[in-house]
Amino acid sequence: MGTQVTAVVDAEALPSLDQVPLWFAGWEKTLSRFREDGELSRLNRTTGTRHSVSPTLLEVLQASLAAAVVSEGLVVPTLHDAMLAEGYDRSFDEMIAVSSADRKRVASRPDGLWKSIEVNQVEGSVHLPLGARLDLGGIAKGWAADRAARMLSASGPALVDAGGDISVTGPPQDGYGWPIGVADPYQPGKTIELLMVEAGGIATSGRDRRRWMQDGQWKHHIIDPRTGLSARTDVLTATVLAPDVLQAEVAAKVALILGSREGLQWIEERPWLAGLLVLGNGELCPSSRLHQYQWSAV
Amino acid sequence: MTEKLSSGHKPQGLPGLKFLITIGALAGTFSGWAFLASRNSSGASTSSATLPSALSNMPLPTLVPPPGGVSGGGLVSTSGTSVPRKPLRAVSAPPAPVVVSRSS
Repeated sequence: MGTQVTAVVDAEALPSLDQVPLWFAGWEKTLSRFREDGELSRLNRTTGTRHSVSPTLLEVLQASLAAAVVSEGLVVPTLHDAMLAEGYDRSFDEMIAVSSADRKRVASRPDGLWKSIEVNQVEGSVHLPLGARLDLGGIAKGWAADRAARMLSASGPALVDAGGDISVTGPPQDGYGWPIGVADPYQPGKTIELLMVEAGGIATSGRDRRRWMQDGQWKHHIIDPRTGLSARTDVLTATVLAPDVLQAEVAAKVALILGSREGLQWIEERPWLAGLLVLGNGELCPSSRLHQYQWSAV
Repeated sequence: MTEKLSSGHKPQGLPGLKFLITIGALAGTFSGWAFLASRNSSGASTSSATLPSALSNMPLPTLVPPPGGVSGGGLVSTSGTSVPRKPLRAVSAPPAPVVVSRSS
């Protein structure tokens, strides 16, 4: 998934962890759009027809469609072609070495295609409308963190961090929360906040990474489906805590796309969320419920 | 979507043994816990400074013998399998984060 994964289990006896890398390798092959031999890539080559898919792909696709509903169309799975048009046409490590002139230019289109995706849960099949190629992106990453944490939790309270998308199944055995930092986008390697989380999920969405220059303009990987272009926003990074990491992932992306004023309001209107926005001018904007999770001395 | 996220913000007590793996690179997770345990033990030390003269002239407290049948002097384990108490975690310093949420 082009990212680092960390798994921690709080247990008295050593759990079996050697399977974890294999889980992620399998999920990446199924869910990554960069794997030409992967299942998602095969599905993307069959738009306009019904196609049988694995239970994993079916589950993540359903999660991404649920995210589209919850976010009112701001976090959708059908941005594959828009990503390509913006220049994100290969894994980011490969992109760095490629000049913008060499990149494919594909016409992007306003999104609404996700509403035409048909999922048959009984048959285990999917019908993508013509042109609706999928990029499961952050939803796949969050789903993988959540799934791995739940599988590990049989041995004890578990935490899985998939590139900053963090799933926590329960408090450590001391009964208090897991200390989780929030990265400072202006100072790599440093944190701007320390949160104590007993259970749930945290995700950060940002335009501070995975960005590139195309046609003289900075582009980044957070696409606004309303325009098909990299989101124009005053938010640099958005971090959200939620009851699970998938909700956190969706909310962080929504807050970033909407911008600080509407994004913070979106979080405040949902009492199960707390968030912290870092703006492009360096300002910090915490939501009113963030203090419940901030570390404090007794 | 209405489930409440649980949280805690009064870290105390030492966590149980943690097992960590990292795919791609190892993260330094244990250092924070070790640091906190170290702080706690050192924080229990007392000063050996000389008493002020006003206090040194005060009479010593009277020692009262314990009730009959009760032996004094030190803590006595009541079971051969007693479990050592975990040291309390220091609360004046923030713990090191186990992981960091970042955009990727």
